[in-house]
Amino acid sequence: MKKRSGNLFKKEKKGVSNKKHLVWLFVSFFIAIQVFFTIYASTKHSQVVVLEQEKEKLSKENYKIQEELARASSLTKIEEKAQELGFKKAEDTLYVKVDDVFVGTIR
Amino acid sequence: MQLRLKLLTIFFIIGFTALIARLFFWQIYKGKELSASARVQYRVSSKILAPRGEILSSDDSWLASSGESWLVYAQLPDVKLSPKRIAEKLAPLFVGDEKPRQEVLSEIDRLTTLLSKKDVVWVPLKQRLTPEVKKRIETLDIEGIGFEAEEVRVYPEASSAAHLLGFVGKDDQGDNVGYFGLEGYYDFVLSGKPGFLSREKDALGVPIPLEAGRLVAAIEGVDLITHIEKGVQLALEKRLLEGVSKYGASGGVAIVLEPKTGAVLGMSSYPSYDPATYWQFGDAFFLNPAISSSFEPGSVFKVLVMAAALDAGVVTSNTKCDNCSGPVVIDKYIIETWNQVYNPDSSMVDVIVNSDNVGMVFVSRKLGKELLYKYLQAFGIGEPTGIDLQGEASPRLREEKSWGVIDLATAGFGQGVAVTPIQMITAISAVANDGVLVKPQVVDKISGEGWEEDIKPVKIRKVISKKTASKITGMMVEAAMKGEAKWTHMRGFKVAGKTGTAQIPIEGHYEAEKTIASFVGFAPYDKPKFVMLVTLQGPTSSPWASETAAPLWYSIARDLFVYFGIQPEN
Repeated sequence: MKKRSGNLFKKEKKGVSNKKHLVWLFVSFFIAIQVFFTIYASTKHSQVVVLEQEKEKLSKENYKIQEELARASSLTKIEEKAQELGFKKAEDTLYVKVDDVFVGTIR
Repeated sequence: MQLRLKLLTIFFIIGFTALIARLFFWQIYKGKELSASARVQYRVSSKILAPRGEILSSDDSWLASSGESWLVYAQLPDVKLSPKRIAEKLAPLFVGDEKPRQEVLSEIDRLTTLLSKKDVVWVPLKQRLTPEVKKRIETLDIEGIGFEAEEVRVYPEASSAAHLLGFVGKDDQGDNVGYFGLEGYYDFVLSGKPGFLSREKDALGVPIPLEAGRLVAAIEGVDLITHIEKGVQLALEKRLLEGVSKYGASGGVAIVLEPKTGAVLGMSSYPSYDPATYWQFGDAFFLNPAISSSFEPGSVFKVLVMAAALDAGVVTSNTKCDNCSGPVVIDKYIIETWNQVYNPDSSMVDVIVNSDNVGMVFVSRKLGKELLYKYLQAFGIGEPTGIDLQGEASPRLREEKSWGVIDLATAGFGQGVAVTPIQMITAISAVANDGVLVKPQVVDKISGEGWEEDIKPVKIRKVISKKTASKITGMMVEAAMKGEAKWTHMRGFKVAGKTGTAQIPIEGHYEAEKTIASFVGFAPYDKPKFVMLVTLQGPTSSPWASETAAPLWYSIARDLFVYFGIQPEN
């Protein structure tokens, strides 16, 4: 009788021990997953931060280039520059009528 | 032994009690304060600026854009050098190398006062600094001096179209606000809406991941694509300036519209200002005379009155004027022609060609107060045109019942009635557009990120019939070719036009020598590509429009004929 109850006790003890191991296995697994994804998310986040900084830098550069373009395309400045280079605005416009006969002669 | 144990126990109890009390003090009593201080360290909130929309001409080139500028500030607790020392370093950079010594000294005083303030942590020192000046200040490496990015408005064409564009200034909160012109009228859509970002950062300023920050994205301002043709605008600016100088005028206005759509192709006023440095000019410069200043139009108004009379059927082109043989006496007033020349039995065409005031009294009488008033209202006189520029004013058309006999007579030749230049040209545009009044518009399209909205022309009403429009156009063609400005007429070009010389009313009487000289016209008269009004204020070389405004109109028209490809007829 004693031996049987002793064996039973051992079996119960082993069953409980297996469950404990299983629980610890699950807990360890979830902790590992948590750690993995935390590191993964942090890595991705830092990449996002770098991209955000790059985006801001490019945005500022774009802004600056647009400002330079706006100033450079000024018709007033082009006119001033043209005058400096010696260009003159056409004052007297001569209107010429091209005859049909003239066109025929060219042909 | 027992005693030592007891003493140790008491010591530990006292120790723990003190610890708990201290913890209570820091975590409970001072908890909120420390939490707030910590939040200041790790929580960073910033406003995301919404870039202001651009203003473009009809060919998509810039009239107004945004650029980079910097605000320099001092964080007073971090400043190590004396205020005077810092002021001496910064003042020459703020003022500019080419400025006189006195200005630099004034700037030093100003900065010293700002930097010496007590009970203040943050002090703005200078706004609108260029990136180049910012770099030079950075090289000085002054502790406590920092920079904040600002948006500055860039106007590539400088003072050209200043009144059309307006400028961007600051409101009471220090935020950018548009004033006058397009910047003022469309300020809400141009401004967009700033965003907000709040997140936690570590000691190095790197955002902490996996932390839920708050982000409200900024909404960018929309872009305005206008009808303004840069070539037309610059021609107007240049010729108007030449004309004001040549004829000794105190001011001038020139407007070009496309009559079918009401599109404003160009608008120039003198004196003008530079919107990029608007603070250097007085308030008087900001109002656009083209839409805000009223004047008695004089003989250009005769076109509207004659058109009304023709449309109402009270006269025809061949009707003879029966009071044109001499001056007309009305009440205690005598109405004469401008040159004391009288033409008995003038036809209505002759009345317009000769710009006959007495003939126009005949026409007004034929029309009568009620009909004339109705037509003037139909032409938009006395009400704002609704042009999309901030600052439009409209002189009131006096109520019909208050008109006396003399008012009816003088209205016939454009005295006693006040209009703004934009009202006048809009009314004449109806004549050029087969009798249909169209609302003047500066902006053609509004454009945002991935979308665009067209602003369609607005037809207000049909004022006169197409037949009447054709008849009055014919009279204007005759006036241009044979009237007092015939010497300026460009042979071969199909121009319909009318001069107007109006006396200026000052304190209940008309100035003898001071006039407002105008010329309004459109070309080609059969299919008008543009309508233009030129007005000169108080020309001193001659008071007459035929010798000032008319030749100026033609000098601008010469450029416009080439620009629009308008050929002379045989």
